[in-house]
Amino acid sequence: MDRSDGLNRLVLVVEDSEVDREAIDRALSRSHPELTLEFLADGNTVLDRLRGGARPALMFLDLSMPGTDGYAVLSAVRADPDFASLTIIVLTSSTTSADIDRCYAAGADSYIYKPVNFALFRTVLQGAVDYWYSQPNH
Amino acid sequence: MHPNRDNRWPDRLHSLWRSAFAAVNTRQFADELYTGLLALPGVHGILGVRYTAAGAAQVTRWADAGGLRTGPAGLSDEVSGLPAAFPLGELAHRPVTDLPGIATRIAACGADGLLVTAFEVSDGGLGLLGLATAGPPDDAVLVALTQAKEVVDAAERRIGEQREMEDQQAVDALLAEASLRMDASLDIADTLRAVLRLVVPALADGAAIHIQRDGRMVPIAAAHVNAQREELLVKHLGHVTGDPVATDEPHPSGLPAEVGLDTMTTGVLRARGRDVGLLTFFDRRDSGRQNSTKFLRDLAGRAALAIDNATLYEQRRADVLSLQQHLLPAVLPTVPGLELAAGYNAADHTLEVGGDFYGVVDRPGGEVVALVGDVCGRGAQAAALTGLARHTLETVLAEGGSPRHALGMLNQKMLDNRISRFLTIATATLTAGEGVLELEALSAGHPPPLVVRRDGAVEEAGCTGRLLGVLADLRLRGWRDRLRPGDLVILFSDGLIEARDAAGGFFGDVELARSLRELRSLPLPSLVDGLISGSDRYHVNDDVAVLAIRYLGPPLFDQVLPAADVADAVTAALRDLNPALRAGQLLVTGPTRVTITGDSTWARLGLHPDPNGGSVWTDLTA
Repeated sequence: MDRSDGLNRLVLVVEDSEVDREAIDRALSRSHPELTLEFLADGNTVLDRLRGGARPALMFLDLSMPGTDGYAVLSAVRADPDFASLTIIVLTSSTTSADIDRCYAAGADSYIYKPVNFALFRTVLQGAVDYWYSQPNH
Repeated sequence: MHPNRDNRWPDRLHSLWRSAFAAVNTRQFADELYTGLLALPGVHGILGVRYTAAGAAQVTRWADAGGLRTGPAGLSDEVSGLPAAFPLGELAHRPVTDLPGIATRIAACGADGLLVTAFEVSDGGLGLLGLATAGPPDDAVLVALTQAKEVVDAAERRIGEQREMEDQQAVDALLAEASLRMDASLDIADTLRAVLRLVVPALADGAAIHIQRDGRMVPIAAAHVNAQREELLVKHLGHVTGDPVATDEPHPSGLPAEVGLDTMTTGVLRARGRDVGLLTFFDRRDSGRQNSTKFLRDLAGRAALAIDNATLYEQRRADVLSLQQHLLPAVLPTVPGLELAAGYNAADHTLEVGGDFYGVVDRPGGEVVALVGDVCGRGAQAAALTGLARHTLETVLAEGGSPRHALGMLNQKMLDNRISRFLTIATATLTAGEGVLELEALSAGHPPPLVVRRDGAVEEAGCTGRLLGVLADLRLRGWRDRLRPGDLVILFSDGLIEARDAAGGFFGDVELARSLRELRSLPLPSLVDGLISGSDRYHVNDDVAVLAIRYLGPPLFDQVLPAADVADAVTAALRDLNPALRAGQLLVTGPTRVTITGDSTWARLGLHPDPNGGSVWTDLTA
């Protein structure tokens, strides 16, 4: 999907599970073959990567990771004014109100439930990407 | 040169057909297609465009000697006029002079014209495949492009079918998970909130649920793919009054533009002919989402059932608890010299009334009879027998009949009426003696009462007897003892001793006696609560009735005193009783009634500043 030329098609995915990284790669390659996906396997390197490389248009962030978890990454990224406008989509297997509120408070732009079924996962990711690329600043 | 010989087009075409039935996305297939077409003689560039139904370039690809690029800068604008230049379903060649938008790109790769085939693609869009050629294309190139278009058509159809199947799988999975959640929980509001999180953004940009409350639809949950706009959505949802209407087609949402959700589709949640709620999906304009209406209707149907079930459950549960309360005394009598407290735990896994009951009868002459009973089974029949039993026993006892007589009479009544259920019961009859309380305990198939001495020793009453409703002769063998001030009698039903801990151990085996020792100094309501909570270790999962009685001893001191005299009077009274009995600092601010009951080694000091209640007390031991 090439919505308009010159769009930033780089998407950063921070996900510790290899299985989930593969699923995200497979899902987004099918629904959005135009995207360039870059994966980080833990939260520790996110800030360095954001400061040192090409700026992604979107960042998918797994909430539950060993070491620096998604909440910590979210807080750290939002604490840097340079990344205040970076769209961050939290991926999680929780649908509890407390977790959602905590993520919103920490600065998540979207809270996305990570289903087990691959077809549903692809649809969820597609819905999120379609939405954010339809917004004027993407 | 003939492409079919020199560039192995037949081989490439054969390979393309195979790929067309294996590709999972167009990018994978495009690599092979564009490489093959670029190898045709006289072909210097390949153009691929996918337009939306609205005519916008959705995907653009360009391949030339520099390689294949998806969405190269500027190409979307360059191809905006091409659909008008190339008629659908035809193969047409145009010189670059006729294609000013893309002329520069074509010329840059060494070509001077564009051969194009335009065809329909899924979702009402348009596909366009073009070869940038130097000079007019020969027949072989025309044939090759026609063949390539047939392969693209087939691949497009197959990928489309695959996506359609996967979309259906996604919808089925979502419906299955939502149904599972709704079936597994009776906290319907929380469950529906979670279900909305499954729906957004898979099938909608936003979603909301209203539930019928007091004649209007009240929003209880909302979700928006954009966190910053979720609060706005909640703010503007509002209540819905009047008859809700389901909509099969998206229509304007009426929400302010700042919410970013332009259209909505609504399903009415209807169960047993009643509208119990609304489920609404919202989308931004041009979201491109389709076919969510059937899913919305399916989900609405299941949500309605879940709401209806939860509502019925709550109603039934409230009815059961209300009936249960009516089978128990509203308040225990106030008996001088006794502290009384009772507690009841209704099993939380059932919607039927339990048969446990308790009561205290203050008989003429100062005698008190306490009882705890347990009717076999649950439900309406058990409740009826519970009511009959408690009121029969209390009536006979209040009129002066002995507990033994009352139990015998109830037993005979049950046998005469051929009541198929049985019941067990324990009684404790308390009669004032010289500085002590005479206790007679009876048990008709029931756990005997426990006596907790003020030093912590726990004794089980040695009474036995047959349960009521089975045989005419109850064979009641009573047990007598004396209570000293500070001693306790505990009556309870078997649900208490059968409570289990995580390892499967029974509360009644060891821990009950230990808990009673530890809790014996607490006010009786706290002691009863502690027992019913299984001392926070044993899971009390059944109906349980507990009745606790503490003997406070005979009155030793009872005077209304000015605040300034209270401390001295208490000190003097206690010194006379036993110099080892000492009260701490006494804080009173006005005239206070001071009471002391007990004996020389255990006493209860009561301060009653307010004649209408509001007293405080402390137990003193020597």
